[in-house]
This record gives sequence, C-alpha cells and structure tokens, in this order.
Amino acid sequence: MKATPLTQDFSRFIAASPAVEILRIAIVVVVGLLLFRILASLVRRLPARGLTDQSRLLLSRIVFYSGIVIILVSVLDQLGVKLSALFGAAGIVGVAVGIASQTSLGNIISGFFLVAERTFQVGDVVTVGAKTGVVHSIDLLSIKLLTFDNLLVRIPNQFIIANELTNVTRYPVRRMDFSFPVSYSSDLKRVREVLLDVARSVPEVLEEPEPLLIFDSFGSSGINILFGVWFHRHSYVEVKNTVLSEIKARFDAAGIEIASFSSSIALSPQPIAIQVVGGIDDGKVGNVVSNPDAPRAGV
Amino acid sequence: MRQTKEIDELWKSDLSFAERETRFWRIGSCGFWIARREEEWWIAFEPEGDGPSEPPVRAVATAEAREPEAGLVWERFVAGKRSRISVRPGLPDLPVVIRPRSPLVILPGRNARYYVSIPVWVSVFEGGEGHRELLFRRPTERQRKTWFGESDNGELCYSFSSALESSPDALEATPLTVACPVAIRNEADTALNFQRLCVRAQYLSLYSGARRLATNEVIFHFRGLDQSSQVTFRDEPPDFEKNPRRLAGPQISAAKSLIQKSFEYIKSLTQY
Repeated sequence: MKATPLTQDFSRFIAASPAVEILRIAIVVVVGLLLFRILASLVRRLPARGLTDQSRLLLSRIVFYSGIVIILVSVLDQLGVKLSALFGAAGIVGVAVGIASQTSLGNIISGFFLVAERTFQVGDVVTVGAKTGVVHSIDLLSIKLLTFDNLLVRIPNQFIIANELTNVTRYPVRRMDFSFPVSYSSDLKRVREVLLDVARSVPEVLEEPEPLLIFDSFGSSGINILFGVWFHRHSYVEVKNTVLSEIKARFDAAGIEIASFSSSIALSPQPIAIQVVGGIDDGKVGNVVSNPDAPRAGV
Repeated sequence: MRQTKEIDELWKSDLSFAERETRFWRIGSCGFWIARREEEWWIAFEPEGDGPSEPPVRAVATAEAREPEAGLVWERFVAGKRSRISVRPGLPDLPVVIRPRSPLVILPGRNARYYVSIPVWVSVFEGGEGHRELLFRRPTERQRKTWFGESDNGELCYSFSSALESSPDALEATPLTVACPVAIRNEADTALNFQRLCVRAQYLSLYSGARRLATNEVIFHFRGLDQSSQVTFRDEPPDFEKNPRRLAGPQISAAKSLIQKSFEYIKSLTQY
C-alpha cells in the first residue's frame, strides 16, 4: 500500500516525537527492571546443591545490579548518547570515583572474601565486636545482624575482615561454662558429686561429650570452680536456666555455700594504744603510730 | 504368654471417646490426659516430677477416667467428627546410642549377632486401624541425650545402656522394652573395638511377638578405620519370636542401605 502524505507525516511525527521517545524509554526501564527483578528472584530460589543462602543472595544481587547497568546503557543509547565517548569519560570519572570511594570498594572486595571464606551464612548467630545477633543478610557493602533485642545492626564488610568474628552456631554442640567459687569449708568431693548429678538430671545436657569440672584456683573468697556442660545449640536458654537453678537448689540442699566476696572485721575488745610522735601543742600534727605491744585489730 | 497379655492390655486401638470424656494414661513414667471437647482433642502431660518416684516403672500402665489437675497446659487438636484414639507402642524418634556394659572386640573377618534393649515410646494417634494421624510421641522413661560422632558432624541421639546379649532370652522381657537384634560383620583386616553402638531406630519396624516387642535386624558392615561402615536393615520379622505381628513400620522409609559411621572407636593408644 502506498503511503499517503498524511501517514508519512504521522510516521515522521512518531519518529521525532519526544513523548514517544520518553514512552519507549519508560517501557525499557519498567520492563527491564521487572525482568531483572524476576531473574534475581529466580536465582535466589535456585535449587542447586552446594549453594549457600548467602551465595544465592549475592548471585541474585549481581544479576539485579548487572541488569540495572544494562538498562542504563540501553536508555543512554536510546537518548543518542555516544557510549564510546561516555566510556572514555567514565574511565576518568572512574578513577576519581574510585579514589573517592575507597571505603566502599574495600567493603565490596571484603564482601567477596567473606563469601569465599564461608565463615558464616545467613541464619547463623555471630558475635562481631560487642554485637551478637542472627545474620539477617550479607550485602555488597555490609552484613546486617538482627540482635536478640530486635535491633538491626549494619556492620561494614571491611570491619569484619579486619576484626575477630565468632560464629556461635557453626557447630551443633556447644559447651556452656559456669564459673563460681565455693567456700573453703565445702567438701570438694561432695561438690563434685552434686555437680555431676546436676548434669545427669537435666535432659538437655548431653551425656557425651562429658561435663567438664575443674577446681580452678584458690580465690579470695573461696575455691574457684569451672563447670562446663555440653548441649545442642538449640537448647541454650533452657540449659542456662535449668542448670543454674539446679546448682543453686542442690547446693542449698547439700549445705554447700557458693562463696561471695566478703570481709569480716573482728575488733579486739581492748582499746588500741596509740602513741603520738611529735608535739601537738605547737599546732603541728605529729605522726601517729600504734603501739606494737598493744592488741591489734584483725581484718 | 503373660507378657503378650500385658502388651495387649497396654496398647489399645480404636478407643472410642464420648463427648467431654477425659481419660488418663500412665505408661512407664509418661503420664498424659486425653479429653474430647466439641470436635477437638485436648491433650495434657503430667508435669515432670509428678509421676512415680521410682523410675523406671516399666510394667505400669493405667488408663482411667480421671479429672485433670489444675494448671495443666492443654494442647488442642481440631478433629472433626472422628472420636477414636489409638495408643500404640513406637520406637524413638532419634537414633539410640547403646552403651554396652563392657567393651566388645570383634576380630578381623568374624561376625557376631547380639540382642540389645531399646526403650519403647508411646505413640498416640487419632483414628483406628485404617487411617491414623499422629498426635504425639513420647518416651515411656526419661531419656538422656548424647552426641554421637565428631563435634562438627555428629548427630543428636538418645543414650541408653544395655547389655549385649548373645541370646534374646537373656534380655529382660518387659512390655516397655524392645529387643533389637544387631548383627556385626567385621570385614576389615583390623580388630573392631568399640564402646558405643548407634542404632537408628527411625528406620526400624516394630513387631509384637509371643513374649515381647521386637524389631527387625540391623546389620553393621565394618570395613576399616578409613572407610565408613555400612548399615542395612533386614526387611523381615524377627526370627526369635513366634508369630510376630507388625505393629509399626519405619518412621523414615529410607533406602535399605545407609552409609553412615556407626561405631565409635576406643583408641588403643589412649586406653580409653
């Protein structure tokens, strides 16, 4: 069919109209974003074995951010921006941005090391510095911890690489230590029996590995004891509460005293003789010494 | 035949409940109430320490109409019109570590067959012989947990001490214990020296024989320190009981063969 002048005019209008151009770009952006979001979501649900949650999370983010770059390049192309010139400029800008964002780049690279090391994964309980919580997400720049009092803590990846991190739930069994002194008058054989019986009586305390009992040292208030019981990581609160209350109850029943720091002062019924060295009359305060022959206060 | 009668009296199927009826059971040291309330099952457990003071009370089982104590925590199950309950014997829901009362050494190339005791668990189902839904599973005596294997890749188990008897008759027959035949085949060129044996009870079937409850046979193939031992389960009723009836199938219908480490070694150097 031969185009009439009217249709030719319309085609020219369509091709040149900024509104159509904007519409086309909007479609590219919307459809592209939707597509890459779906792709990222699919990657996150990959059933592949050997992929941890954090690997999936990272992969899905790489897919999504790569998609954004592709969409951006497409939009710029639509707008008629010459990409070769842009990339040339991007090199210069990249150096500037790189220098300006050293910390961010450091965090991104640290993030890759963290993922490669597999020290922890999403869902683990970790301690970093003074913060303990469940790993909520592992992102490009940071990890997010959900603390047990329901706070979200962001820790930069670089900080984790440079500092000590403890993965509390990496292994299925853990030992819980109880340290306390018993009074010097306690029968240590009886203390041992009672503590081992406490371990036997709490069902969540594992029979093996066996409980640890060490009479650690002579302390200022009593004999320091280290008592450790093994438990499955899911029973932390139950074991902590039950063992502690059982120790208290059984010690009370057995007449074993948990020593607390205390001092007793026994004063002699006789007055302490004090000798004044130097003159008082002249208005100067002299040295005061106790009479070595006089009875002393005992501390 | 006394044991069979006890077993039959202990475990009931198709018990019918009237509306608002409450019954109490004590099987071993496990006490529980079941009540029927407006198309729901209400279940509560006797608080720890309220049961018999002399555990294990193996042969005691009661089922009676008894008013629940105040302060019980009830679990509710929506049941609809069905008003039948089955109280059945079962096996533990975790592997059981059997600690032989004296260590055993099996020389290279030798086979042995032993019998060990496993404690019974009580399983309560909604429904009768046809269709059953598990409501709960509980041990009939207090179980301690233990860890079997390395601290980074072992597994959580129940711990139980039992004699390794070469004849089933040597095991004490009670309604609340199950005789489990264990065949050990040392196919390695080193002696097999172990102090603990892990029986994965979830893979076993439970049978009622003329004298006792029993399981099918577990066979351990030991192939050396560097290789994992292989565990297989003979899919046949126990041959040491007359007229065995199958009461329950495996909780986990796994492949017949499992490659799992099932022995823990006593290192001869440590003399432990």
